[in-house]
Amino acid sequence: MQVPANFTQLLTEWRSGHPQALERLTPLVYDELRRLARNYMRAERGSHTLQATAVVHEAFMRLIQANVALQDRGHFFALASRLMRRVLVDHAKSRSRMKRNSGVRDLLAEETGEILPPIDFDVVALDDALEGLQQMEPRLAQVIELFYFGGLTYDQIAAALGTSAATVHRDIRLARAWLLNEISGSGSA
Amino acid sequence: MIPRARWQQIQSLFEQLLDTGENERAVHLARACGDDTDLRSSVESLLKSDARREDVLQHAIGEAAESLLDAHRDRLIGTRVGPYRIVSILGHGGMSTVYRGERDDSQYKQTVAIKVLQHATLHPRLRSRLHSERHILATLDHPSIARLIDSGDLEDGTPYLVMEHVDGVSIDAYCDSRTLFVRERIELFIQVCAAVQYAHRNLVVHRDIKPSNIFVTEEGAPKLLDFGIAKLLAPESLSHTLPVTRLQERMLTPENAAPEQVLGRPITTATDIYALGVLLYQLLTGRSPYRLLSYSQLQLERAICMDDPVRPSHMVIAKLN
Repeated sequence: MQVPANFTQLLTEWRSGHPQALERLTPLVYDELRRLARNYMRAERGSHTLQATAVVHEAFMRLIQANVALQDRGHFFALASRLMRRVLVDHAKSRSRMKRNSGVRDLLAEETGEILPPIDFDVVALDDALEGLQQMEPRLAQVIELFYFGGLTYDQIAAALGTSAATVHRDIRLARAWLLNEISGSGSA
Repeated sequence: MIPRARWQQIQSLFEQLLDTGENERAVHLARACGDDTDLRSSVESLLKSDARREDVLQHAIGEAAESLLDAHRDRLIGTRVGPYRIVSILGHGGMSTVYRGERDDSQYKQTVAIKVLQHATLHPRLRSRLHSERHILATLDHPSIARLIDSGDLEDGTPYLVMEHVDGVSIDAYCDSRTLFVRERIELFIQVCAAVQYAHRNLVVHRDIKPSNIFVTEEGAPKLLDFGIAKLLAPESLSHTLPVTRLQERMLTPENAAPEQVLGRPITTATDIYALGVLLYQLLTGRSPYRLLSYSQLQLERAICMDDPVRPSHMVIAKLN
């Protein structure tokens, strides 16, 4: 596959405050997703949301691997995961808030045996909550973007941020718990 | 917004207590928080959310991703394919999507079925074969065979087939909804056989004869759909490059398969004849002659290659009782 050489160039422009770069970036992401969507369509069975997420993550990796020097990887990982978040959230918004997140069943906390109420939210609500987290603790918001929107492993995130995988794991747990509280409205934190 | 100092307190406690047991956690929390019930409930509610087993974040993102990919699947609606405008989706297969296309210009008014293949794009060798096969299929001209009208590639190289759109219902649904007698069912079946015979004389094997591939129109005329298409989608000539265990690559419909399809042996006109026998059994009894408990290779071999089917007459009596 040919990734346009200007993908990373556009990412940098977008980040340094040229919103028009986003208009040219988005079609590149869509093109890549469309290419990969064909593979996705072959596997009709199994967990759809997991497959779909895997497609997004694969698109992310393919886009970022072109023309990025190793020492710049962390920087571009961050930009590209932000972009992927933008694309998914904009798509969801354009569908005038997607059908509510009803697929999540009542969740059982094994440790306590307590039934927790289901959390009902979509990627737009997640985006809002992430904005809040960004204000409070930018590092945590960054880790969530890299892990969930970019599909990076703990090790890859650790390398990108110059920290340890154990720290990344802890950060993700804290950030995720905070986001869930925020979204479900039980956030006293 | 939580004050900085407070947030750091919460964060630090959360991290200390992450992997502690329930009792230890309570003791530690009580000691660290003292009278500060706010701090305590903040940390407790975070730990509670952390204990959730399912990743609801991943789920929310997955739903957005799925919706986005589905939007791509629908992207052809409204576009033009040759002289046709794609107006809706008729159905999805594992390897193709069938759209309803309409031609509406000064010359014609025509509705067609446009099958857009996904799988073929993955095998370069299959792609080239596709072109020659399409040519052969287009020469089939029989009143009971849905015609292949046209074919080509979309702008991005995805192959498509334009086929006669048949307005009707599948043959089993047709027979049952009109509660046809045995004689009427057999008369329909004979017409199907004539169409298959015509194709065989032209050296084309259907490979996937089954009720859902035979439509009957309002006027009672049967039409075979997808003649030879199965070969384009699941070519045996490529099967030696595929792991033998990938059953779905070789066989589309186990309920109607002939033994050679289960065993991965060459497909011949006899394969269609066998499938016609299965079809007749289904039309007369309402059941498949195979008793398939699962789609595992072992089960399929046993049910299709070894077990003797219950005689149709016995099957009907068993159903009546």
